[in-house]
Amino acid sequence: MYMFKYVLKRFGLMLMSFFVIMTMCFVLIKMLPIVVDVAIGKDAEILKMQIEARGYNDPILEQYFRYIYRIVFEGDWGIGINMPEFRGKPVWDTFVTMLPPTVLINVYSSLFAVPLGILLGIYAALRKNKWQDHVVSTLVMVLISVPGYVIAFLLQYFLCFKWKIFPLTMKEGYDYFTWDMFKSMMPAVLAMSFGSIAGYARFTRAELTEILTSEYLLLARTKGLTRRQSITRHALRNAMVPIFPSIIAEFISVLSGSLIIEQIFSIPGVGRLYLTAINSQDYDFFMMLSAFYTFIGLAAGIVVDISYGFIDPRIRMGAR
Amino acid sequence: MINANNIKNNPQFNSINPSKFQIVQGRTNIHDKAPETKPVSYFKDAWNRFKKNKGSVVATVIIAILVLFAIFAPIFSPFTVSYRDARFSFCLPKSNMSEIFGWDFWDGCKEDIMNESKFKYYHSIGAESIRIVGENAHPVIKNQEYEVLAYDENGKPISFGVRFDTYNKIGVVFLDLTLEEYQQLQAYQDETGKQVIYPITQYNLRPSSYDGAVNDANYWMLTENDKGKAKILTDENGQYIPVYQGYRGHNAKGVTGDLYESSLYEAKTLNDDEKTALYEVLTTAGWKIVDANGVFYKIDMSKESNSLGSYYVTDSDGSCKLLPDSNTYELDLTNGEQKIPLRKYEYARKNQTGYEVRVNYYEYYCYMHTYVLKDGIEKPIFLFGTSDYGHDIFTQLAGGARFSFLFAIAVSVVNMLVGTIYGAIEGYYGGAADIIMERICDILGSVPTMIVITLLKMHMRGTAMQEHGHLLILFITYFATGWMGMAGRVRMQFYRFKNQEYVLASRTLGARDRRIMFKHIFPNSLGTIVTGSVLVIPGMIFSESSLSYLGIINLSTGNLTSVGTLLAKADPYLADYPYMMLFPAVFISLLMLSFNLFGNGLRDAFNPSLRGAEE
Repeated sequence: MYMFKYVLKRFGLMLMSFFVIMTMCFVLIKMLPIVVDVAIGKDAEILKMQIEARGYNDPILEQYFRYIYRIVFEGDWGIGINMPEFRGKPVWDTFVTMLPPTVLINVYSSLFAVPLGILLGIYAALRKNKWQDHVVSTLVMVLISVPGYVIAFLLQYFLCFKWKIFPLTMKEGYDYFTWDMFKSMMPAVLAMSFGSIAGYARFTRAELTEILTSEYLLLARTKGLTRRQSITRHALRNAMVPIFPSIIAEFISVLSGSLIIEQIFSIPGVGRLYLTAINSQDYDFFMMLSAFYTFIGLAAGIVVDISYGFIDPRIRMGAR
Repeated sequence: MINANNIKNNPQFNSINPSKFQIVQGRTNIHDKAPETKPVSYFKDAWNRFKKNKGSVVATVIIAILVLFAIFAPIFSPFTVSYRDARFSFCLPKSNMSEIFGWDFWDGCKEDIMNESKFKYYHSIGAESIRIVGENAHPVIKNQEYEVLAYDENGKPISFGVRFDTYNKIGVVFLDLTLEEYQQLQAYQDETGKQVIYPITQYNLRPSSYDGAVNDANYWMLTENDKGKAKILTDENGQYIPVYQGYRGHNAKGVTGDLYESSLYEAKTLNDDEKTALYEVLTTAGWKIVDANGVFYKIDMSKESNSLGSYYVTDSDGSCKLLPDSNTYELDLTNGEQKIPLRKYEYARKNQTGYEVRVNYYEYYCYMHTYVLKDGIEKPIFLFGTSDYGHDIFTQLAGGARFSFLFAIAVSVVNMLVGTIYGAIEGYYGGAADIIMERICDILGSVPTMIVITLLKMHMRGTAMQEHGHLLILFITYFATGWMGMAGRVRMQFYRFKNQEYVLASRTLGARDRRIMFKHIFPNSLGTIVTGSVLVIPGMIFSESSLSYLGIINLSTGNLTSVGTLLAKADPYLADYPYMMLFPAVFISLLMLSFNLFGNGLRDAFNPSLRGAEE
């Protein structure tokens, strides 16, 4: 019951934050004049009429309620105005077509990074203060510190330009599950996963080293378990308690992707859409993508907190 | 005297005669001993702990070096951040050492494989330079050394491996100079003995292809039109055939062999009907000009011709200044001295705007900066190479680093002040104030930075056009999203300390809230605040570089640049010119790495209880 109330409370607060932020964004955006960047002609006339018909020149408050109504009941987030290829089309449809590359790259990189990172972390913790640990720790420190884009440049230069293992940019088209497409995504996937690997390795190592010195592990050994048994049955399970929530959070934030990686490898994803939308001052796109990014950020935060309670029965959320 | 034995032997010791007692210490007062060791202050203690962390100390040294680089490199570098010379774009890193010791690395050269036409083009640039100045020539192909990589079926070489000197690749360029500029340039040549101006080529023999070759001053040799492209021709010996404008308008086509002079003033006859051949002969007094009859002529420097750089040679008629050289006249040409046809070339051509000249751009650059501008630049040597616009990357990187450091520190200080006050109020008063303020923090904190900056950019479109508009946007963004972290940290500290006894004591003595907060609690949370402020600096530099890279923020105006801007500019050339990316990338990686290590050391030093904990 505690748990239920806590979840409800957190969820309510999240929605509140979300609405405050979106309202601020909406008001700030609607205070700007609408930019229509189309050559005069038939297209421009149609677009102007469309804008007028949607009531984009009405008072802000009126527009706000209409905006919320449209989103909730019609799933209508507005239309594209300035980007030629999305002009006059619903923003939501464009967004949905852009989502798969972003999600796929992030899912691949998580699939790659999570097991590798955790394994490295476990290995380092078990060999604590031996050379293996020092190598892993140094590597982790370097990978965490070196900015992701520098790693991306290195990968791009060596894998794509020098050795020509992978194509330079992502393959065009919508056949997301072919081998060619997978291959063309690989540089971006690798670039994204290095940082995550380091993060997981560091986290796992810290948790596991703490547990390995704990008293219950000593007891486990005392009662006759081998080192292997004590580690797999006791230490690892407990170490996973804080690690799992972060994996879940990672899987939620895969949706948002990385602007800079998408830019470097020219991936036609959400990040690129955001950048082009703000450059061409397409406000409906901006509003929708802002809502998207804000929501992902907030959701990842509460999922981490709540999942602690589900994974570890000892943690009772909201209990006094 | 009472001792233990006495007491043992005498069980009735409580009935000892009081007169037997002696006072051990008389009137001397017992004081607390002054501590023999010096007290260890809070910061001293932290420093002692910090010193033991070797990684952090090394990191601190690296940060110090990077900071010194940012401070001093722009001072000692002759270049400025806004300096650029488009003709010296894409120059590879080059150090002075490579010239002195003849190294084959860091010499501004790159390994390159060329096809025949490209190879001939660059080889000929060096050939002309060597032909004219000899020793200190500026060959594009380093030392004119090459390796034939492939032959075609006729045994003709078609592929060449060379070391390509990016500093000389521009070769010779056409310039339009005014009379004063031209004379100044000649004066410089006289003073230094360097050859800047190269002979002008015959206009009708320049390549007339459509790929811009007609304006390319490097075609000093005979070419033919090969499908719209200039194809370089050679004679049977493989020598290039010069098409220099002869001093008497003679067609120089077919003239081969060496040019024996490097004199700065060129001979030219007055009239076209004066067509007696002049010869140049080597005498003990050097090269002299002589006609077919063995009469020596002297170059008359007092008179200018309409072709600049050429001077009249006057003959013995007396209508012009007659100056037969009596000293050299005595020399007998029959002494086995060889007559060599005089091959003098025109060095300038008059056009509508001034005088068109061909100058070796490397030498012209040296002349321009040492003789005309006098801006401290001696010759083009770019330690980290140049960008696509010809900016000096070394200075730009230092300038960008300087900006990044200053900006990050400024933002960090402002955030620290605001965050500390906000967090102190939250933590100290607690209750409803805390809940409301924390909620505000939560909401503001969950707005993505990208959205804040986009909104600001859209609203400040007018200001953004101004020189430092983007700087202002960046500052506001980091302030608007940055102070919450500090506030949260300070709030925690205040929660921890506000119920301590010393606070209670102070309150009992009548101290006001403000005094308790800033005099008693604040110094205790100083360690956290310092660590927090330092740790946000690398994050900010990283974030700024990402935003510049994405093109959301453009800081490259005037004397301002940033590391991210450099990265963004280098990005399109990653495949061909990776050095442009290398130095900024290494800089920022090194900075991040050492800041992280330094920050960890600092945190461990200030909060020993957190040692080893991550984040």
